[in-house]
Amino acid sequence: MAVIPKFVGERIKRREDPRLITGTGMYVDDVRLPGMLSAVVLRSPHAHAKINSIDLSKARALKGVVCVLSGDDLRDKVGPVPCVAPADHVPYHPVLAQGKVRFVGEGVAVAVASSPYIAQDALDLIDVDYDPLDAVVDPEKALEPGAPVLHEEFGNNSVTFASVPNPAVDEAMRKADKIIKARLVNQRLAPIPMEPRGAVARWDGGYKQLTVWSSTQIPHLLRSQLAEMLKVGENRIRVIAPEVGGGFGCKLNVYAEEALVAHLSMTLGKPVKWIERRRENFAGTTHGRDQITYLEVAALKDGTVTAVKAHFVCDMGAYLQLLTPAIPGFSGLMMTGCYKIPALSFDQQMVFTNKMSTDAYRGAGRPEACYIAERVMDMVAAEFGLDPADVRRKNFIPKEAFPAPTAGGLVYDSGDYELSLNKALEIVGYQKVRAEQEAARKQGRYIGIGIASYVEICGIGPSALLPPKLKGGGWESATIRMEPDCKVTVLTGVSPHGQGQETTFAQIVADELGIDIDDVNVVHGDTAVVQYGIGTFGSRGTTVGGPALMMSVGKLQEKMKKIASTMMEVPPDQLIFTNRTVALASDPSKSIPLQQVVDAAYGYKQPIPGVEPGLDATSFYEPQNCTFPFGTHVAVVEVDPETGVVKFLRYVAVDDCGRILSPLLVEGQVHGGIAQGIAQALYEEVVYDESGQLLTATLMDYAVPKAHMLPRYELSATVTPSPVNVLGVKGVGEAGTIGSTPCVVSAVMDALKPFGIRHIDMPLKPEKVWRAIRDAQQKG
Amino acid sequence: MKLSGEQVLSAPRERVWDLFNNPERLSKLIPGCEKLDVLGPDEYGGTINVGVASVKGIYSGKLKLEDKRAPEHYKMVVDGKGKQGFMRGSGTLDLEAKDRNLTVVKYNGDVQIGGPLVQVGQRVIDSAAKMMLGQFFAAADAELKAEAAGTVARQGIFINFWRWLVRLLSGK
Repeated sequence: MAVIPKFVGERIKRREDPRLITGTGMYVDDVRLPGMLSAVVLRSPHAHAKINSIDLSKARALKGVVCVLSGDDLRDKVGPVPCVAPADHVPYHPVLAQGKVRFVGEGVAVAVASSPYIAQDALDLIDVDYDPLDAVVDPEKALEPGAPVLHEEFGNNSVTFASVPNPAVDEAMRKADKIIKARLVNQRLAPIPMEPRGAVARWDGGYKQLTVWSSTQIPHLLRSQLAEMLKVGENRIRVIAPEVGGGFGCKLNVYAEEALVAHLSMTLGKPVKWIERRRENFAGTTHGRDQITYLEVAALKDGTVTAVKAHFVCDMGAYLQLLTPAIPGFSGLMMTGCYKIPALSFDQQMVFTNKMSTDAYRGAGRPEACYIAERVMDMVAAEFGLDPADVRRKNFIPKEAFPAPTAGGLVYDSGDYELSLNKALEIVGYQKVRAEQEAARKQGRYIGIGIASYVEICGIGPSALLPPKLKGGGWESATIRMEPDCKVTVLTGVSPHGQGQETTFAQIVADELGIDIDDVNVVHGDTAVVQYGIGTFGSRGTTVGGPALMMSVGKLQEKMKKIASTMMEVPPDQLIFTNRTVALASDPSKSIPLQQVVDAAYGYKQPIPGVEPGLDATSFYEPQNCTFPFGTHVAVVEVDPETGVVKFLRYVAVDDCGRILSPLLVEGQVHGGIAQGIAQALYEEVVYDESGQLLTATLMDYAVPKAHMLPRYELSATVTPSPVNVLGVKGVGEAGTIGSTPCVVSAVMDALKPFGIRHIDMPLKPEKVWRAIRDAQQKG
Repeated sequence: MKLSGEQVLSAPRERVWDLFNNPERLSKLIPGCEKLDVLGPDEYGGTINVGVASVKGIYSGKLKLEDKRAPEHYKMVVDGKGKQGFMRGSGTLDLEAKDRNLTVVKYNGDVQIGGPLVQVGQRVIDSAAKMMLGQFFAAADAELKAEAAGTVARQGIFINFWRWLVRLLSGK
């Protein structure tokens, strides 16, 4: 019999991909049910307006139209869109606007018809009489007295003001050689999943059963929230997340349309589908970032940073989505990055504006933090004429210090930041590239070398870190079931949508049970099949879902060992699982086929004392800490001073995500992450005009990078296992996004150093870079 | 969107003023204008059919003239909407007599445009607006010239008649 190889650590291709690339996967829009109706939502063209009246009569009269509703028709019928994160002012957020609209794209009415085209025609017949009001788009202006107020009941546009003071900061400022001040902007971004949102609902009245298919990252949490919005028992709701074509945080949410289609199906007695269009996705799906940071940095001449003080203005948009006001907190807490900066204080003013809500977007608060920390290091280096690599080395938390408590109150699990920096610099050939840079400058060419050493939070996390109002904590669940034919079913509470746990988890289980990877089927994303789970976000799939799976694997192994030990008459602790057998560890040739153990468990012909029939184990894993992956990215770019265009010459990424289970998947995550991070640095930006009109509402106007706009990645890794979990893994879903943004900005600024330019706000579009060069030349 | 500029029209100021206050004639000059009705004193309602990039549609709305100082100044207030968006704004029109037969029209407006019209068309909306203004002024100039030519023609008939009469009476 062929020997079954080990799978963990091997370059295994994603087992999800064949169905995805052959069009045999099923997305929400592929759900087609008999008698299904289509819903289309009418959206506000105004950023801020009073609704005087809505005339639905003509729309209702159109042939093929089943139902047309406005916000007033849903009062007391569907509960508000939830926000579970704490804030001083949490506005009432109706599923369709009531009395007033507060951003372009807010739902005003819904038409349901036999086809989406008829429903769209019906929308054209709806007459809404708006009374436009002044809009406020700039979060700083929104705080000024006299600014238009979005939610009158609060009297102003403040969501929350949070302050983390620290007297040690003032002391450090007094003793500093230099206080460096800066204003940094993390611009608003759109997550742009390739598959927009969508939901289908079917109410089976006879069974009192509601099924909702939704393109979501959190099927169970969505079920809990829908139960509350619709006043239906959770045991009567089944949420299915079929294939989800990207989420990046924007589907870690509960949206009006999900409750809307459910309500419509329950009232009409027919299945109802709503599929988001790209322009709706730009206008009505959560955005990310949008923070302004005012910084004061206390530094010593040798490059030591002794304190950081920051004031944040965070744009929350018009309403608060599920976790909107929780995101900026991560930026504050992680602002000291990989550095032993002893004193940190910050305050955060969160603001309502007439824009779509912000919420989690790949990195969620940590890209902003890392951007701040890395700009600080570069500014200190520039201020004192030091090498930016040396300034980082000077301030790194040393590897002996782990577990390392930080000024932000976190405890970093493990790390070796200098190792990662050294490795990245070695790969890029730092001294040689510096010499080339010098030579190029003499020829009038502007080459820049950017460095970013990042650390971030993954594996979220201990339940105490998540808002109390969120049903479900930071734990994760897993069930493993050895079926009677010796094939394994895994039910995981995480909800992968590109992360590839169908592959990773099968690798783990195959190795642990000594079976083939093809013997394992990983099932997820269906609340009727899978026990309650939390979902996939914050790079927690393998870091939290993995240990939960290991717990269940352990329980199953223990039971099978008990059975085998009776059959083989050896102590259970001397048994191992290998090559589809249960074998003696000291002599694997002494074994019995795994199938015989499984037969004994299911057949139960000779009961084994203390062992129940069946082979099924469920576990819930609560992590004791988050994990803190880290790494160093180095970019070499050339800026054309005539056009402002940034061209990549090299891109090196050394990432440390702890133990690597699936190298190909890790690389894939890093590739995608870097692309999205570079997009923030150079290309992408959500733009509203001053009256609140969304100007970047199509893929023609919002610059998602194409392949030719990205470099060839030179990837490497260091491996510092996490002590937090049994797998030693740290998570890698967001790492690339976090390291790349500051790295590229650092490289461009380094290239522009001869012009005396120290900072340009992102995105570093050619026009902006060109203007900065021209302004600097005119000044000089 | 801010729109400002000036155009020279080949007609005396009074004639330009008359044209700019005559909805029936104006409706023929405004690109895509399908209807312009008088709703009240200095208040008009109408529909125009325009396309910007791929966003084509019919917009209906109201136009009000305020602060009128004949023959040199008025303010226009526009409020219109259609399936593909809305336009709101105001602008001023100032007429300066350059010489007997030339009038400088200075316009200055601020228009707010919303909905899909701006979301899809924002890259081209400025040039589309300028193009439409260009078309409007070209049509206005042609109309004024035609009007003048018509007058000259009528004057010609009169003069010819007078000369014929003089000749007749003088017996030459």
